[in-house]
Amino acid sequence: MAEGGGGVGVVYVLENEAYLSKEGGTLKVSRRAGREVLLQKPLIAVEEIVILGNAVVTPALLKHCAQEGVGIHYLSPTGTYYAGLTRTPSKNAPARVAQFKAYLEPTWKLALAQRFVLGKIRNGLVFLRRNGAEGWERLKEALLEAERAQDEEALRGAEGRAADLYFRAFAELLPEEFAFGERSRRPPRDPANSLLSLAYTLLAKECESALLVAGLDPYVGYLHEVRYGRPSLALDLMEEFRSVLADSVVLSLLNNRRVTLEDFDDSEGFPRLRKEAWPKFLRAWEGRLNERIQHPLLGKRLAYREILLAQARILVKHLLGELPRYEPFAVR
Amino acid sequence: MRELYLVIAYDTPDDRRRARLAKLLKGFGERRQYSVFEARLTREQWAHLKGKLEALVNKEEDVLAVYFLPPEAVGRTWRIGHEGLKRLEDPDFV
Repeated sequence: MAEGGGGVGVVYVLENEAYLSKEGGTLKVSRRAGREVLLQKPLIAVEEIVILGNAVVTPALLKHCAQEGVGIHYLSPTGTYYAGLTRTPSKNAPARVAQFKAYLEPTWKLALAQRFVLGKIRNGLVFLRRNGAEGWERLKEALLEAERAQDEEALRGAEGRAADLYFRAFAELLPEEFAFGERSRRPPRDPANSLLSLAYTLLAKECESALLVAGLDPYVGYLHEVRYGRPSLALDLMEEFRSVLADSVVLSLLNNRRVTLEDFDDSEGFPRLRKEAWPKFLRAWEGRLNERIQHPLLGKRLAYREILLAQARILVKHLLGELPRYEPFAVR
Repeated sequence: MRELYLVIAYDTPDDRRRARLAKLLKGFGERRQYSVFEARLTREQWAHLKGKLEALVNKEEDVLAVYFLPPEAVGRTWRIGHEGLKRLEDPDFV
């Protein structure tokens, strides 16, 4: 992820049999059989490589990516993250020491968990209201409940109720053929849920790299319990962005009929976005991340992708005692 | 962050150096003719490229020039047969 301004060069490899190599200072993507070059791009402009098939990465390219901190991410065709090369923890060790200290202090841990839940509910509420969803007012109650929560159980209860109300109202905004009864995952049981899962995977990956750049450990979180291999802090950070980034992309793709039922394949027993439809989805996703918006706390116009990094840095400031509490990103 | 827009043209009698120059420049911009490249770089990237060019070019035998285009000249550039320089930070899908 880029430091400061400027965009981030992401290369998405959808071609199943792609061969990725380093040729001079360029990234070369070719079809494995034959020598057909699909893309050749200066490596100085490549900061993330996202692979959705069985692409081969040469050792020379791997070495470049490891040295320069370029992320390589392998996703399954359903969008599950299964392998990757992320940058090694940054030099900001004091940030991580503070992060673990907050984790070990129950009241601090609860206070942080609460900030993430409040950010999620508040932004979800605004998102529903702005899209004219019916029943958005009912989230106000859940918001109050989360604000008053005295322990983790009460907080999770409020979060669960809010999520339930939120998805019921969200489903009403979708075209009729995509409406669903409830949020389902592993596997998602309907096309809209399947798209939501894809968007959440991509969002979690973005949050993970933002946290790493800011110097934090994405695997030790406050709201999400620590579990082997689970990037719980990335999951915490993504809460306040779920509606504004992931859900909004899904909603606009479906409502503008840019993604239709024909774009899904049911052969595995659950709906999956067809490979041919991935570019449409990814383009919309990238478009959203590069959209610029005023950051309420920093008073600057930033791309959403930079806002993720800004929030990770705000979290660091709080952990180091420079801010009395973590302020989630608030949409207007 | 202001970007630099540049055109690089070179010539050398040495086949090996010519090939190495082309290989180096492919990592920074787009090839327009056999020995002409166009690039859009940050100041740091330009400093990096300049260092590499200095190390590679033979001052006795070779010629090389880097022309910096002001933004309004970039906007007025007239092209046939190829499109303008791609924005490097735009995502690619292959």
